[in-house]
Amino acid sequence: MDSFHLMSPLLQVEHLSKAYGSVRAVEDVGFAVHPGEIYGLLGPNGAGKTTTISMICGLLRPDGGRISVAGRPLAADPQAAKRLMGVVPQELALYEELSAAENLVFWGRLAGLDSKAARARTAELLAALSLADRAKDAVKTFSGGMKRRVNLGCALLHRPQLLLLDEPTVGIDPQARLNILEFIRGLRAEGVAVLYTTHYLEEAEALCDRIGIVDHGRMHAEGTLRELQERLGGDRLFVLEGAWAGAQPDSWPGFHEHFRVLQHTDRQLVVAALGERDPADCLRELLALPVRVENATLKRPSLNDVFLQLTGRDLRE
Amino acid sequence: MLRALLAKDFARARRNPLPWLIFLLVPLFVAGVMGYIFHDREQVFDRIHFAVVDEDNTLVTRMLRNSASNDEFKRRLGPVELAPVFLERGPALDALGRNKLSAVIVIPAGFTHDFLRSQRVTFELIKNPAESIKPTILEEGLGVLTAGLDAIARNFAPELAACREVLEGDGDLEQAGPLLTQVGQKLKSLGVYLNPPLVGYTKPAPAESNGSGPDSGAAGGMNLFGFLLLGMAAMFLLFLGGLGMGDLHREIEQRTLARYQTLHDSLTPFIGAKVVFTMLMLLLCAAILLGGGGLAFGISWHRPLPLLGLTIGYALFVAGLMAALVAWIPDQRKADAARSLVSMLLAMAGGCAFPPDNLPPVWRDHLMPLLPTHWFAATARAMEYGDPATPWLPAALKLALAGALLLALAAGLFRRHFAKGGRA
Repeated sequence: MDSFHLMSPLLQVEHLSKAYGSVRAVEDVGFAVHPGEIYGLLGPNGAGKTTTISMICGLLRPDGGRISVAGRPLAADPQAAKRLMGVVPQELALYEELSAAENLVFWGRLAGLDSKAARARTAELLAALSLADRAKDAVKTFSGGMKRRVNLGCALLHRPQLLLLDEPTVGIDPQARLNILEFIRGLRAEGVAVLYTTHYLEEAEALCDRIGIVDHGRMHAEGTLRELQERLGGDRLFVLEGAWAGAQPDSWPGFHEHFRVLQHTDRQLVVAALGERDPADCLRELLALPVRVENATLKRPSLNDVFLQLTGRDLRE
Repeated sequence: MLRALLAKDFARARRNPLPWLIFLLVPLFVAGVMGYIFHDREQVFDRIHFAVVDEDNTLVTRMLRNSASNDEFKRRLGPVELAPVFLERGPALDALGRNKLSAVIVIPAGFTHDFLRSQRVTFELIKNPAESIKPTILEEGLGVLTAGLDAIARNFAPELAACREVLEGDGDLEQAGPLLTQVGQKLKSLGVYLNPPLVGYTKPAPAESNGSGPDSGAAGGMNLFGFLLLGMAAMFLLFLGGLGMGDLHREIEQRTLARYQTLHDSLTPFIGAKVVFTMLMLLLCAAILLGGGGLAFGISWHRPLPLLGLTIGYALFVAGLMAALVAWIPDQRKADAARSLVSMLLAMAGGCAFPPDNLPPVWRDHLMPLLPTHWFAATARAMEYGDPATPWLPAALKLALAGALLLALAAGLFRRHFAKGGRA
């Protein structure tokens, strides 16, 4: 049990569901986010991540399930819950005609700060987001990465304890993305609970303390990166290239006792070794399979491999 | 929070003023152009240029042609001013061909000779084919002149014969004095029949003056620009209101309304602020339209405070109407089209774009009185150019009530939309 679980969660989601007509956008999703934790919801576009965040921040009414913020049901006092939250929507919810500072001051005022406090906090945030020199420029003149930073800053004026980030790095260059991720790590260090949705594996791996894998509205697995990797049965994967079309791994004697097939294509077979075994032994067994292996690679399992194993498809597809 | 929301909207309008400026300048431009055209046309009617070609050139014809510049004759013509020039036939026809004249009147050679002998005489009238009204006025005037000459020929035949003898030099000049005395006595006895004339013309005044027509008796003098500007203002305040409340669509589109909803549970402050912003902008725009128009076209508003009260009521109505349309049609493109259509229809049907007297009676009598645009435009026009005692408060209250009802409808529609999980 990690240290997060010793604290009561700031956000608790249980059996959450939402349907649009016959389409079940979210079904029986549950997770918890603790103070000082970054929880990642990882899934492809259309997995239900934004719908989940929209229900948590009160933009959508759930069909079923329960959301609690700081131990109190959201439905009981949504305004009190909203005071604890900061929400960074996937779209840039900014006034492009206004300057960065004007946007921040405005959202600070709406979050309940008086004019003086809003201006002071704006200056602080603009400096932290490396935007102080462009504070008075209209947002419409900014690059995508700068707009993303302003979008993030607008949610932080009132120092929220719970930050909901819906794909905050979509469409920006790697350097801008690194800056934003670093900023979010800083928030975690200050004890902010962060719910972070993304479809970028690398982001989830690099940033999140725990990850929930969602697809087609359902939560398939959750845990730390290590826990998710262990679901594959070990910390090694073998990628075997060869003529695998027509191969029947089920019929190979003893194969399923030592390996689990993660992916099987005409040219590639990806398998996880089960148990604590010497990689050399594993490789020897794989090379002895009835299909000639042209090339073999040993690698650590990635989140994509976990996703592949859980959903049967590649997250990058 | 209201202050922050209003400051934000005003700042945005200040940074992007073009849409507001367009809707402000168009009515001023339209009123200016229309006013100029009709104003200028009235002035053109005042002066009719024509040529008189006197091919007879006798004492009588000289008297005739000089009568056009006679003061009494001018007074009787009223606002129509004749501007005759006396030319030879060639230069006169040349000037007519160059569109410098409305007509050429030719007094033919032998006119005096025939007239004094009570024989048939003929004037020649050559009208400018490029003009319609002024040559017709001259034709009518010539008709009156010939009728007069005919009357003289019939009633003064003996005197005309005596005159002919005096003028042609074969008569006794000592007879001229008694002749003139005789003519004077005859005219004196006819005076009771000639003055006042049996047939006259006066401009008809409407039996019940509600100030809805540009010719109504004016409270302080009719100003065509002002009359048009009030209608244009009624129409373009609808468009400007659409611009203000339509901003809610942009807030939805760019997700700022959703962001607001992540901070606050109730939408009322946000939408209420937009209504207040729209109303304030409408009042500002009305001040620019009517005040600026007043300065540009020399209009003096005779009842500014009642006009302000009426405009406040109208601004509330416009804000309510546009809020209801935004709430009813969530799609921005469809809503933009609907707003324009509704604004045009309300303005046209309400008599803002045309003088209401020119509209079909069924429309004017049954449809128009139901429309808030008419309540505003007709009351404002009546106050300024009709009966100065026209009550404005009932119209202002009706407009405000309609606005409040529409705002309540908009609130209900918004609540239903978001309760159903509509996208904010």
